[in-house]
Amino acid sequence: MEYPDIVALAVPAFIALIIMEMIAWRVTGRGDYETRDSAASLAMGLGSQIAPLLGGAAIVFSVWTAAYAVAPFKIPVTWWTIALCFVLDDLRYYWWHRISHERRWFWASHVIHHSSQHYNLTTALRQTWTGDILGGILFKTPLVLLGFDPLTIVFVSGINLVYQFWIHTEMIDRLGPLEWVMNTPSHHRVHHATNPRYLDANYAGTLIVWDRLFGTFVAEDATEKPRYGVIRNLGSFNPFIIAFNEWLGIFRDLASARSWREVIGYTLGPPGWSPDGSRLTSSRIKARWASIHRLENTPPTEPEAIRQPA
Amino acid sequence: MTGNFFLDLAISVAGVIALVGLSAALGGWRSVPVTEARAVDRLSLDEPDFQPAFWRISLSGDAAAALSSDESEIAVVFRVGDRLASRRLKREAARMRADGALVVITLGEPSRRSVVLRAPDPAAAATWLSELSRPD
Repeated sequence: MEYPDIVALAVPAFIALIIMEMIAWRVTGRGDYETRDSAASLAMGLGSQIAPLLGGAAIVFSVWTAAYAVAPFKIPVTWWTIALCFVLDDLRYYWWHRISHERRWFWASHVIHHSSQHYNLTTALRQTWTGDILGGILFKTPLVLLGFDPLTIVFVSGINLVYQFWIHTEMIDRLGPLEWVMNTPSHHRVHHATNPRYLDANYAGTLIVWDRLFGTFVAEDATEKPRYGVIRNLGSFNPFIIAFNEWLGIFRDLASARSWREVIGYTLGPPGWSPDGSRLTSSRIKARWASIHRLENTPPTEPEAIRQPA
Repeated sequence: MTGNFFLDLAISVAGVIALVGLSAALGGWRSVPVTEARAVDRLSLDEPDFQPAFWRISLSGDAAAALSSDESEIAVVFRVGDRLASRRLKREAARMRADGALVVITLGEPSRRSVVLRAPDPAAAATWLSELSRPD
């Protein structure tokens, strides 16, 4: 079956929506744009289209061709198998995305998408250059082994990617009942936020039900505006530094590793892992925040005599 | 790679340049100076348990540095476009030097090699350096 190149078809809409959002930002004051930040995001998007052509796409194609050849059965392509593939791919996306936040090797590719301190439609295009070849393929290949046609997987992944474009905006508030089922701008703002209460939440691609099901859903709190970026925000807009900063950090840490435990910790531990605990992981940041929050909300201790029953 | 690919690429590059130009034309090319209030705000979000004893604010508006109240750490806050970023360093491990009226604090990261504080004059820079660096 011939599928349209859904991402290429969407590019004119991406550009039109970015222009509309920029104008809306100036007119309404909602949202925010910084030119160097947007330039970096757009350059990352452009690079993510070119990078696979340097060999990654050929490797993915070869692996999938081999996997499809050994798949025990082939699922016929019909409207309902495409829909089923979309839902399963969205579930695959949830777990890939969650592990990309929880394990540094995968985070090194995914952090690029979170490296902007702004949140607008250009942020959606700030994509990894290394993701598929350095881990993403592991998560997509099982669908091929299940018997889904690789072209169908590329198609539904494209729909998922295009869907996620429009949720990178501060222009849209809440969307009523859609918030229960779909990933929305509100849910995804939480995902991009570094506020401790919002960390490690809302990994969904299209359907937010996965977060509700697996306990990672956090609703946006109107009283706490999301702060975007990463825990240690970058000091540069250079696309090459954005693309490879975390990889350089991993290599630097591996060079100083003194045991296999440290090698594994630096690569497959959570981002921020260190042998002596001197760096902060997201769970420690949340614990620190909870501790400070508890202290602030603890009422002053009453004198012992008052607390004693008469 | 086909002719279509290069055509798509050319259109994409032109699109990127147009969007960047539009963003600049709409006032997106801007920076914020690092003031003490902004530095305090940023650090309280990034490092809520860091208690600054005092701040030294660069006259250039690019950066600020603080010594912790227990004198064991320093924090630096620096400008990234219209946003700020921060780093927290062990005082004993922090590398810094004075260079004329500048105090240079080395971060050694790919994204930011160093943070530079501009003091009023070389004597002030020497004072800032001695206040921030580890006691000999």
